[in-house]
Formats: sequence, C-alpha cells, structure tokens
Amino acid sequence: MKKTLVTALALGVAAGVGSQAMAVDFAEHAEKSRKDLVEYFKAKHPDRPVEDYIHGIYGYNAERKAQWESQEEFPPYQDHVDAGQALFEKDKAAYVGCLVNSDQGVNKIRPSYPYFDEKSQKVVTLEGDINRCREAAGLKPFKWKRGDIAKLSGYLAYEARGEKINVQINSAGAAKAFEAGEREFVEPRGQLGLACASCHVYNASRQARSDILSPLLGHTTHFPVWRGKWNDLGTLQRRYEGCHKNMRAKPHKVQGEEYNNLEFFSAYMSNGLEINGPSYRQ
Amino acid sequence: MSINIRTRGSVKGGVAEIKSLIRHPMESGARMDQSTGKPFPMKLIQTVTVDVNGTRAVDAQWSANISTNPYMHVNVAAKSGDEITINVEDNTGEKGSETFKLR
Amino acid sequence: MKRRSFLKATLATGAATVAVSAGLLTPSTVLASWNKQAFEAKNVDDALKGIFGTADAAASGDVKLTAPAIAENGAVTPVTVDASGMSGVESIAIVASANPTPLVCEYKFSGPAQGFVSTRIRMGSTQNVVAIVKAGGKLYKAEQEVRVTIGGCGG
Repeated sequence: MKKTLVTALALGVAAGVGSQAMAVDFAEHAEKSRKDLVEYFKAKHPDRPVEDYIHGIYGYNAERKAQWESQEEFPPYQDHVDAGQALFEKDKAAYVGCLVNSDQGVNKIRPSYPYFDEKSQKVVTLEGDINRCREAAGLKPFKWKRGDIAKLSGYLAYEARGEKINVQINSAGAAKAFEAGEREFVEPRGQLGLACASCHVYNASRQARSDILSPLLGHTTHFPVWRGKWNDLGTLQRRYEGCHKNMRAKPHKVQGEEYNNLEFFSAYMSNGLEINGPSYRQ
Repeated sequence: MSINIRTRGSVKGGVAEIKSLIRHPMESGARMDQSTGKPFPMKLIQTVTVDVNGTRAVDAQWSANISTNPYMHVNVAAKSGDEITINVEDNTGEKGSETFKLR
Repeated sequence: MKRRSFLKATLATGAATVAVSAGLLTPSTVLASWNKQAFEAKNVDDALKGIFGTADAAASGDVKLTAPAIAENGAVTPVTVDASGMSGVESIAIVASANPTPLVCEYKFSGPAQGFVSTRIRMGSTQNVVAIVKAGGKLYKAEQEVRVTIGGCGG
C-alpha cells in the first residue's frame, strides 16, 4: 500500500476519532520540549540565529568554521553523492512509489522521514524504508551504517537541501515514541553516567578536550555526515552507536526501536530547520 | 587510469583563483597495513604544473606531507576566456590532466 | 606495468615519457626533477639546503602565513602562504618542522603566477609550520605553531 503522510494522518485522525484539535493535542508535549530547547539556546547564545544551528559547532568558533569551509569548498562527499544518485537511478522502480512522497519528487523524500507508522505503531526511518522497499522489490538490503545506504541517503539529503524538517506527531502512539526517544536522550547511561543531554544541551558549545560539543538543535539536519575521523560518509545511527561506545554505554541495535525513537525525537526537535546534508564534520 | 582532477576557476579584477581537488591516496610508503604487516606501497603525486594559455605559471613538487586527496589553490594573472591546464604525475608514472577555460 | 606506461607515453608528450617507454628510467626517478634529497631530509635545515642551497631566511611580516592555531583534523590542516605583496617572488616552500621528513612542498612561480599558495597538509603532532619565500634571490620566512590535539569524544 502506498504510504503517504496524508494516509498516516487520516489513520491517526480516524483512530483518535478526533478533529484538528485532537491532532494538535498529541504533539503538545513535544512542541513544548522543542520550544523550550529553542528558547534555551536563544538565551545561551543570543547572537546566534536559530537557522544557523544547522551548522552545528561551526557557529561557535570562527577558526573551526574556516577549516570547515575549506573542506566544504570541494566537498569530500561529492563522489559519494554521485554514487548515491547512480544507486537511486539503478533501482528507481523499487524506490519511486514506495518511499514516502517519492511520487512528488526526489527532494520530497528525505523531509518525509522519520515518521510514525500507525499500522505498525513504530517509527520508520529513511534508511529503514530504503531497505524495506528494496526487499519488497526482491533486492538485497544494504548494510545499515555505511557504504551504499549512506551514499543513497546522502544523495536524497543533497537533493532535499533547503527543505525544512517537519516531523509529525498525530497520534498517541507517535507521542509515546517521541517520549521514549526523549527519555533515551535525557536519562543517564553507561559507565560514565552521562545523558545525551549532558553534552548536547547543558554543555553544548563547551569543549571536551579539543572537541566542541554540538547542540541538539540542528543535530539531524546535516546527516548522513562526512566525518573527518571516519574519512567516510555515515548515517545518524552509525554515530549514535559510535557515541554510545565512546561514552562507555552499551549501544542499542542500529535501526532498532530505541535508536529509531531517539531519531524521531532528535528530528522533531529540529523541526523548522533546513536540511543541509550531507555535510562535513570533524 | 588517469588521476582525477576537479577544478574551479574564478576571475576577480585581473587575477584568477585556480582551485583544484585531486583524487589520490598520497601514500608515503611508510604507512603500515595492519592486516599484512607490510607497508602500503608508495604512491605519491610528486610534480604538479599549472599553465595559462600554454605558458608555464606554477611548477610544484609535493611530498606525502600533503593530505590525501590533495587540495591546491594558486593565483594567476588571467582573464575570462583564458585556458588553464593542470598536470600532475605520481611516482608510479600515473598522470592526470585537466584543461578548462576561465569564465 | 612497463607496457602500460609505454601506451600512455604514446599519447602524452615530452622526452621523459619516451625515456620511460625505452625502460631507461625506473618509476621512482622518472620524475627526474623531484628533489629526493630535500624531500627525504630529516630536519628543517637540511630540507631547506636541499632546495635553496641555504637555510638562512629572515623573518618577514610580508610573508603572510595562515594556519589554524588548533587543527581540527591533523591529517587535513589548511595552510595558506600569501607573498603576493612582495616583488620578485620566485618560489614558496612549506615545512612542517616536526614531521619525520619536514619538507611539505615547493612551488616555483613564473609568468603570470602570483606568489601565493593554499593547500592542506598532514601534521603528525603539534609543531611549527614554516613558510619560506624566495624573492629577489633572498629567503624570507614566517612561522606559526599549530596544535594537533586529542579530542574529548573518546573515539
């Protein structure tokens, strides 16, 4: 069944037997969290426009920004984006008509994810759907964290540059997924007892040795990311796993429920910001 | 196989900024391959030239201290319509060449 | 390997390529002009002597060296040397003083070229990056420390 946001919305409304007002209610908690976050960062850095947060740490340090701009001049991810385009064209029949809003144009695919699927009551990510569509067409699924999936995701992000993140919460299930992701983000984990929020909210813009901690606001806009350290393109959940390992916390399964909820939460928190993936980061 | 060179040229007030990104591992020959215990063989761009309308402008020599996928930006007196040629060669004899006209 | 380089030689121009096809030059010396001695020198002075014949360079404010104080990624540190304000610039060399073989590159300028180069270099550790400019037969230099540090993210 061709899934579109309109369908999901219709299902959500039907399930909630509600009017427009009911739909807004489901997102109330999430909207409050998001607005609180924006206000928090506005107060922390009054001179930084909210739209600039898509550039992450580079808005905090002019010297780092200059080094980043020198990388973005001839982006190291350009070849991967081109390869991603080839991958898309190769199996176009599998993707167009299967990926959400793919019938409206390549640029509309990336902004349609992640979304909450009412039928399965689960969060669906772009990478998840890429593989779902591949399997539905009889093709071998990609590995989750790097390689072809990152290249294809990179191409779709590149085409969607300028589109705004617009994660929808239109049902109790979606609200629950958001809250689960939010808990994952604010609760302490692992040997060091750190929460994601410890670094990425409360200490964002400060330094951990020579690394500048990035702010949650704008976190997901530039993925998949070309990370200098990897010298490679990688997905958001590749970084989730990597960061958990770095922080001595047991990582969750990539593309499993916990990380999908976390992605749902992080993406919602960047609603309204422009997609600028893929981008170079340290 | 020839070495791939991406180029960008922009003219501002009689000076052209010639920028290029060259796809090349720039392997020094000293870096160890952990899986074999042997070093990766030396593969290193050693000479680079830039010509403007056939006239030599830049003659460069590089070492493995230049980053992988080398980036180079030089400035030459030139105008729109002038032809820029960049040539590179590595120690194995592999070459790359790119010619473009300034807009 | 030799056969492949012969075929390339027929498409390219230059005496060197003819010599390659005749098997007279091995790959490591086919670029006869590559200054092996300077590039294999293990200290700054020897590297400079290998190129310029001397390591004597006067510090000069006309040599504008731009490099980050802290390199975000030591493997790709952007460095710019701008000597366009000086007259008679013949060449620019960049040296990474603590790298095992410090000489990074040498650029000779002629015809329409300006005395300017910007590139990305590999820095193995915190060290001084030195820019040497040969102008009017004399050597001038500028140097700056670039810190290469350990990140806090643990990975």
